[in-house]
Amino acid sequence: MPEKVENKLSASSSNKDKEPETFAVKIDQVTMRYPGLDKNQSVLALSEVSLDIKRGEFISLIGPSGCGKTTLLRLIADLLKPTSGTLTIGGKPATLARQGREYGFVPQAPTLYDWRTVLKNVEMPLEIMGFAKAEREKRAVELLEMVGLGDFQHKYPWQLSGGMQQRVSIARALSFKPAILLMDEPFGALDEMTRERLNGELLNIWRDTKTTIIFVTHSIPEAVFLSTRVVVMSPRPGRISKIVPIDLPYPRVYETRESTRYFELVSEIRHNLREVE
Amino acid sequence: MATLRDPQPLTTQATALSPQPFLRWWRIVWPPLLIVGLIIGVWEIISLLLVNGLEESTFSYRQQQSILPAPTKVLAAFIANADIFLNAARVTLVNAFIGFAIGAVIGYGLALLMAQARWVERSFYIYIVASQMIPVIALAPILYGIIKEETLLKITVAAYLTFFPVTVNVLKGLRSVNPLSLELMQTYAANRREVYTKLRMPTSLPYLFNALKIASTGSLIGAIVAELMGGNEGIGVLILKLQYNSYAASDKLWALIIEAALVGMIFFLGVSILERLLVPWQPEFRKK
Repeated sequence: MPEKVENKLSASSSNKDKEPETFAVKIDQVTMRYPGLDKNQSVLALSEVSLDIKRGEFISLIGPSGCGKTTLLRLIADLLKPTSGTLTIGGKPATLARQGREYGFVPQAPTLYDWRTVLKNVEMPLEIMGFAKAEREKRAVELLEMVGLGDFQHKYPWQLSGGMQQRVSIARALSFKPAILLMDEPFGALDEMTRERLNGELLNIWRDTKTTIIFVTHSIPEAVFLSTRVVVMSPRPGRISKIVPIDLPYPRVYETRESTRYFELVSEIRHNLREVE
Repeated sequence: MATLRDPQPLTTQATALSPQPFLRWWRIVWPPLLIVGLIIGVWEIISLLLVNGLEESTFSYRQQQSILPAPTKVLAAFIANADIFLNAARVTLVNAFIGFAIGAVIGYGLALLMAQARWVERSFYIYIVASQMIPVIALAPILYGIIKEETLLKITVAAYLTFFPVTVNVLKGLRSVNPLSLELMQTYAANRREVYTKLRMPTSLPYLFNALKIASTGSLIGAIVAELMGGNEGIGVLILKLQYNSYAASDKLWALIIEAALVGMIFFLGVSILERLLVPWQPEFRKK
């Protein structure tokens, strides 16, 4: 077993720090400037962004291209370092959180390994984290069943449809049971029907695993349907312009999309987005 | 959850529509066979014309024969000398293969080393390129002066011609990893060795096999050139012997050259089959 799991167990059993238990992610005055060829050409992608995300929340980041929503997600994932400000993930600084495997990451494209079967794809993070073979297989099978791909374990990624590939990618990100799931427009390339179906599945997964989810999307209906809060971002420079709490009851089902409150929230966010453009 | 599965049939369709194995095989094989048949036919006719049709010719019968011996005569020459020819091919192929294997290992190792840092790559690359600018035909006598030993020389030259395509292609393969895959590895906090063994090296395998196909024929040529420097056994040695007696032996020489070409094809085919077995996930091999 990797050492971080032991750390987490001892931390929760001693129950000393209440603070990191309440917040999954704390973003404090984060600025991100991409360097250009000279100083005048550098791009201010995010300007003094602050956001606290509680454990168990489902947060969507939405906004026009260039608003820095993907940049923010990548900063949380420690795939980028902020120019200034601090990010705390699961009570740890971003780099330590990444090294401690605090989160699972689902990229835009499924990014599966062509030379591995679906089962072995899901096992990849577990192999790197040093899990025993039997445990790896058990977990991978469980997760594939959870995303509805139990019968496809021995297929290769290129034998699956785009929606199925993305589900493998989600199963892989969940394989080591991270407390946080970061998703970067995971359903952006899928057709509307598949997207809506996967939205429903994702909510089931969120309910069952009690994971904190941070979800980047272009789609207003998707953000409203899924989230506990929608973070509306605006460009030039990237910042948070409004946070809209979504008070639709869970479980959210087919009828949710036809409720009056749903339409009100969708229009509210649409107005917000129009103002920021 | 069961209702959410995509109900796509994934494997059955293609095989149900494809013809019987023999028919499928025949469809692949008949065009090249037709071409070879046509070439042999035309060749036989030209050869007959050269010998019988050109009575005004200033060439003697033997000279005419030596320009283009008829395929039937070439075949007869091969059958008459089958023992010697097959033994020579075996010796050349075995040595070429040993050199090929050693060259592939060295080439892959160099690529792994060069992939570690740009400065390492820059330091090595130009010398590796320069090494390939020396024609084998010039290098072989120099190496012969150093090595002297026949078998070792063949293996060295074959390895020398193999390592270069392997290094260049594998280096490219190790660097052709999807950036998103690399980022995912970062999110798993994978170390450098794991990124290589679990991501970069599998990605490089199609590139490796591309190089091995090039090197399969290259290493064979290298071994033959090394044999031309002198020695006791091998296709190159026989070529040398027959050249000293070219008028009388042109049919044998042709038979030998065709044999060398066939051996090269078999080597190439062997590598291609190995590729299908070891790297079956490439788009060209995929069965939907």
